[in-house]
Amino acid sequence: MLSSALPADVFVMKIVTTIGALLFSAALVFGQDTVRHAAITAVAGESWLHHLHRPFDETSMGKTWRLGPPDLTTDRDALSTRSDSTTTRSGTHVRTLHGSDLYRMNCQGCHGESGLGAPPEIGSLIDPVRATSVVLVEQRMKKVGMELSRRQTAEMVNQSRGALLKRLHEGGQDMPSFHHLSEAEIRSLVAYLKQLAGVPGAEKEQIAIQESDARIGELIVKSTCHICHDATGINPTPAELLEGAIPPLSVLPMRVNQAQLVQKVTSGAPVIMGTTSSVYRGRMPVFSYLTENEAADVYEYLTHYPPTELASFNRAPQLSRPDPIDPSTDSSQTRAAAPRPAPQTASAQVLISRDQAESVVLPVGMGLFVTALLVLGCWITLREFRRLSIESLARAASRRPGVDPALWVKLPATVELLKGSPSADAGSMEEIVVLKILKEGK
Amino acid sequence: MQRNVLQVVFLGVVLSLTAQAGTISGKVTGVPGASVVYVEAIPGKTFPVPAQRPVMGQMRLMFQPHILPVQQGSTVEFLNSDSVAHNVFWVSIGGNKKLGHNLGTWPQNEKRAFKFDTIGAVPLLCNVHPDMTGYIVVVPTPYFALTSESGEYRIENIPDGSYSLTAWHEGIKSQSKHLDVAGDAKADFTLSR
Repeated sequence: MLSSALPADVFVMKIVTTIGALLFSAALVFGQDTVRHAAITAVAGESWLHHLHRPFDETSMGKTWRLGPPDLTTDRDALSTRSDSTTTRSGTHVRTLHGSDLYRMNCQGCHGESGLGAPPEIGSLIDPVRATSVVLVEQRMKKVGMELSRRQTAEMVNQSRGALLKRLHEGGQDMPSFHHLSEAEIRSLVAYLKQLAGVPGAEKEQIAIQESDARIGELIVKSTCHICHDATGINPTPAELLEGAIPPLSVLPMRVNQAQLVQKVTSGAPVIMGTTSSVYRGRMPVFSYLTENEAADVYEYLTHYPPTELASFNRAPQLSRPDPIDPSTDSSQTRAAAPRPAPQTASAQVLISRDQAESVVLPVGMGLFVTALLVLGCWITLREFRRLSIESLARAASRRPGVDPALWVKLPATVELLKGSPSADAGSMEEIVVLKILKEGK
Repeated sequence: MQRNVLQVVFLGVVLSLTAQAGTISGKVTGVPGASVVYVEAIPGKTFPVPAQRPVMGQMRLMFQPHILPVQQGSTVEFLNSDSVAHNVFWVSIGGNKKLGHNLGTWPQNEKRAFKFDTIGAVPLLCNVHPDMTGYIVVVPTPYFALTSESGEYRIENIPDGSYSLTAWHEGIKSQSKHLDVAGDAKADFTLSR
């Protein structure tokens, strides 16, 4: 009945579905980028210790005394096998990380394996994490004799949770911001923090996530290396090293090859310091809790995403791979002329605009799509109401004696005809026609 | 503490115009650390609510000061000077668990205020840092003092009269004694666990 009106609807529906599908797929494409999260960016700016104006030797990091071997009699065979194993790594590997891995990469450098930190310089994270557990807060309140309602406990716990996440995202006076962590990483990490802090049942809530090698390198560099090493700067001479200079991350490929870095990070290596070029254990602690693969990820990341001076838009293009460094040259003796020029300045603008496009197009597009759907829904509903009312009017008309049943079948065509006339009010058109039919039928 | 002393001095000056004023001094022994000594409510006498707002700070993961005596009706400000967030709550006031309260959790350089109208000790705790403890001791008169670490105290500008004097110490039952003040008076307390 009145089916001649339908083709127009079908057409509209087709258009809407197409637009919807387009927007949805666009959302998926952009969304995936953000879900896979955090486009990898180069490390930038001064080290956290520089920011704090705190000399390395006065920090708990500088006092670990977990240093490398005292002389050059390191196991050369081990080094060569190490280099064999690390150079065969594939570039776009994806690995499964647990919260405990994220903790090692991002937190352990300062807060230690136990999370207790090194007070007063580095606070313990155990108590602030325990404060986010309903069970533990209830236990404690019972112990101190406070009667809290469930709502009050929840409020207290939520406040602590908010404070903990704020601390992670924004950092504090002494703690850097960890805004480079994605939401998924934070979730996985916080789940592990709860386990570390002994929150009951936390073992069952552990979340594993997938990370690329480059992302692993990025996390370790930004959360751990960057605490002491500036992103860019001048390659220090042995004399400057003895005086306390810390080589910036940008000169790393000039100083060591991948195998040497893996050795330095995971088990330590002696360095040449001072004007007499004597061999020292160096001052960098050994990060024995990082695996060789992870240390290799650090090297890969630093060479693929060269550190930049400023902490601004600095998405390094994947293509700008630096020239391979010949490991045979004694790079520690050569002095870098200047910080590695950022090769991505030309393309930076494009990348920024793409960045912005991603962040603008998605919400605006979704907004438009939803609005369009709402408007369409209202329109179709109104239209349907009107049609039903006409139909019932027409039925009533057809039941009247003397009305030709064929008349109301012609109704839609008449309506279309009338709509063409400029004076007609399109809104009440159908009703007029029906009334007309009713009159004529009498 | 200094503010409180000033407050006492000021009130004392006002009162000294009408009556003779003296000093109560003495020592609280038997327990380590500071105590609070104060004059109990004086029948027929009321005191204006102090306009000054005493500050209970949170600094280096501690309540600073550890003990803050305030006159009844005072509004205390809780200022967080640490770079980490702190929470402040108390289980009871003067042992009354119905007066337990959670003041909230707030970041560095922010403060919250609370008006203490009920007399008694307020044991302060922080949900985020279980090791943090502090006390606000709400007393009924402006005649009070926080003792030194070795227990000495001095309540100045107290008008002549007959008073009940109480010594409070954390975790211990308070001790009261009657005291007639005419000019200077001495009162020592020996507390025990």
